[in-house]
Amino acid sequence: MSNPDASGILARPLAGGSYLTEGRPGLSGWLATHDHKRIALLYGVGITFFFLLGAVAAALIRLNLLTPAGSLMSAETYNKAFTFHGVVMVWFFLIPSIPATLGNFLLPLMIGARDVAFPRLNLFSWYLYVGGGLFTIGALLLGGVDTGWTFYTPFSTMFSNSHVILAVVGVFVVGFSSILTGLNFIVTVHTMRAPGMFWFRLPLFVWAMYATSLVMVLATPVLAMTLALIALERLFGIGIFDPALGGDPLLFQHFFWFYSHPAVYIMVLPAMGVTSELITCSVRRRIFGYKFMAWSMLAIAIIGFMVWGHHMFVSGQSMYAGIVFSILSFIVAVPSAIKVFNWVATLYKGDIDFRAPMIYALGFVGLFMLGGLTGLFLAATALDVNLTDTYFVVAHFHYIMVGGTVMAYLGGVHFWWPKITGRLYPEGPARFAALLMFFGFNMTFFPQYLLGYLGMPRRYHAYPEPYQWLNVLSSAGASLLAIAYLMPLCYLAWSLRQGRRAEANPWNATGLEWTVPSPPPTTNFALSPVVTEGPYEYRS
Amino acid sequence: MTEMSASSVAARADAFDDIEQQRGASVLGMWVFLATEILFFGVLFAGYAICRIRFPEAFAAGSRQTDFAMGTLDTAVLLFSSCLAALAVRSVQLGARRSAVWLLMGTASLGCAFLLLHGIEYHDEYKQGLIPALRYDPAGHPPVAMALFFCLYYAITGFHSLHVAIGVVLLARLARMTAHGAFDRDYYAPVEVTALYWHLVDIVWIFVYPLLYLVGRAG
Amino acid sequence: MDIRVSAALPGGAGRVSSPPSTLRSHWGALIALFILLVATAAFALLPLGAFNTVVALGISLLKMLIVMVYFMRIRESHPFVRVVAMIGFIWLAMLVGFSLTDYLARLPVAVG
Repeated sequence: MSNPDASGILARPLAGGSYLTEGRPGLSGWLATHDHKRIALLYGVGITFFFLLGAVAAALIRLNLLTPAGSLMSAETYNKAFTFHGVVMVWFFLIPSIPATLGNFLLPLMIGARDVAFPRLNLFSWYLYVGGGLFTIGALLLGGVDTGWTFYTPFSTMFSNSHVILAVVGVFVVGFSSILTGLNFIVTVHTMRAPGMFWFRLPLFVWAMYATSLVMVLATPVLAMTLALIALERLFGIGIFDPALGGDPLLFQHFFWFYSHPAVYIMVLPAMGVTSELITCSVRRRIFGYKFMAWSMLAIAIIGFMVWGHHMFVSGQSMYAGIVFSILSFIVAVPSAIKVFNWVATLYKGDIDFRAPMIYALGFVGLFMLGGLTGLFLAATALDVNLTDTYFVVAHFHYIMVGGTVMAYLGGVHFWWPKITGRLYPEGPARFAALLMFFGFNMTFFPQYLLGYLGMPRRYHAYPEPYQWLNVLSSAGASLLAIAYLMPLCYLAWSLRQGRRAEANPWNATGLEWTVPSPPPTTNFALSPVVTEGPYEYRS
Repeated sequence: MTEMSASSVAARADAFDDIEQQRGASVLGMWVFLATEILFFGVLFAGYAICRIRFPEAFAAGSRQTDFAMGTLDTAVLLFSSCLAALAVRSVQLGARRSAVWLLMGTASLGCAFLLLHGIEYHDEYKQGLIPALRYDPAGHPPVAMALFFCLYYAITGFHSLHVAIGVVLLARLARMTAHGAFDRDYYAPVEVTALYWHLVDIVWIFVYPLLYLVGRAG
Repeated sequence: MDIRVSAALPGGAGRVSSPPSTLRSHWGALIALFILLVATAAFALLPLGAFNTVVALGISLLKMLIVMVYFMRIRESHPFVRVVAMIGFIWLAMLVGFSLTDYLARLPVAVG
């Protein structure tokens, strides 16, 4: 392979259209596409739809909790509302959010490839995602599920009268979608890098996708089989989780959290990758401690598998196992802290450009820090006895998953919007929305830390009078948050037609994705680029 | 690189440069998939390990009820089929199309034989009343948790048989494609990765055999 | 299986092209596997107590290695393929191992 382009990273565009206009016209051109960029947009439509569905459920929950009596819904309906919210938001929004949209779009571009390794498999993953979604919506339409997103046994297997099997099948199917996405990304990073794109020249976003893919591939099969066992238990009573036959309901929790704790890292590792890109571009500097950043992501991915027992401190697990899991949970905080320190060090004495993506990125760092630190409270066995199953836990994981991942996702969407659509988003509304989101989020979830500390348990549709003012505050914050989430939906849609046209590299950023036109042509690079330097070579 | 044959050119996707690269990616992709398969079955093996540690007697009693001779025969059939699959890959690599077709058909037939043997076992177990939730009235006074052993027995062998059945379909399709000249010494990745899958199915059974059939046989 | 790859570019894992294996290695491996199969069955009938399980799993491990080395040709594969081949087993060991820290350290529960 030869490359006449002496300057290295500049690849000349094909004459003519972009991936949006080339290819088969009409709906079939999208639904049968093998192009990673179009598939990314298909996922974008899917996760936006499910985000709105999950948000409606969240709104109902917050409305119900305005009054101590919980007058809006019956206890049963409330159970179904938070179950639907959890299932949809975890498996149909958060898990695929950054990897399947931004990851799909950017990974091949960032490593200088023309597509992912298995393009057809990539499309198949999307169809699995949609299929799983249909099952889940079917379960909702038939009357919903009331087990909580965790499907804990023996309630889910022996007592619940709702459509558990349908929901479980939906999650099973969407699980295979994320396994195949992870597989595709791993093989792509290993085999499709452009000449000169060595491992330690990869942008941190690619490292993040790689670490995330490892978790997807190694954790999700365990969830799939565990959920299959729930379905078999309900259908045939196979007894492995049934104490009457000698089985053990706690075994389910072990298997479930073997997936579901690492799943948190499926959500937050990509967010860390996005944040690293946004921060370096805004201060126009190299990232502080690049190799530490890359290794710490792999460390999080691996150690994250050894901490699942901290979800089970009070569930009857042996206290000796609890001690082991507690120590390991503290250890997994170390690489996460390294990342926060390195972002701060990158910013230190820098000339920061506060555009909307940067506000989102800073929001991510702040909220992730608060969520991470409260995670340490919960990893301490003694403290966890008091805080477990309270709103403290709810606030903690919303800080990580919503405060962290959604902020980073939206930051990334804004940052790469010109690349994806060829249009610039309007800066003013975007900054306002980012700030409103930060305040709205804190107003919604910080009171929940206090509620949990004061002892309000989660998953109840009514509560004693003294908790009311904090709940009202939280619901008020949620309405601000809702406005902040709807704003980007409006102005980004507006910018599709009215936004200023973007050039190839509007932010003057490094990275191969900015060397191709906006939006990129279907084949990405006319000639395979040759990489001659590491990432983030900003020279101010 | 050697000059490309007609089938390898036909097999190339649009933006593809190098057939050897394509093969490497397919092989790596299959290995990653096999790692997920190991964990998929792994849940059942983990459940087995934990239940057996809690109820060693019941598991020995359950295992004694399984068909020792049939289990051994199952294992032999799968080991032999694995060897044929490996030989099929070798034949395709050497360009011996006819023998490759026969070897692939042989592998698929042994897979069918395995499924048939298992069907016979299931049938016998049904007659003896050893299938929990369907017909469970074992003779004598078995320990309570023996039902748990049989649940795991059916879950593990059931999922394994499902994998064998999928493998048989894939192998039969490959045999047909090979007969039509779809593969040759330059392009044989589909044969290679399917064989890898088949070997994993074999490896799973290598562990199933002693864990389900051979517990508590002595004394 | 119809796996297609596009946009492949040089570098990375998977540039492996090994010559076809020999007939002898295949038949030799098969004979070894059959001998080990007979050995598993025979050892299962000897009263060794807890060692029955140890021996059975040991032989199975050996059989697995033979299949991986001679049929799946793991030794000629790219180093990363070898890592992937091991990683599934390591993660399974983690699942079983950490779950057992709970079950083995729990106080005994009376069950019928």
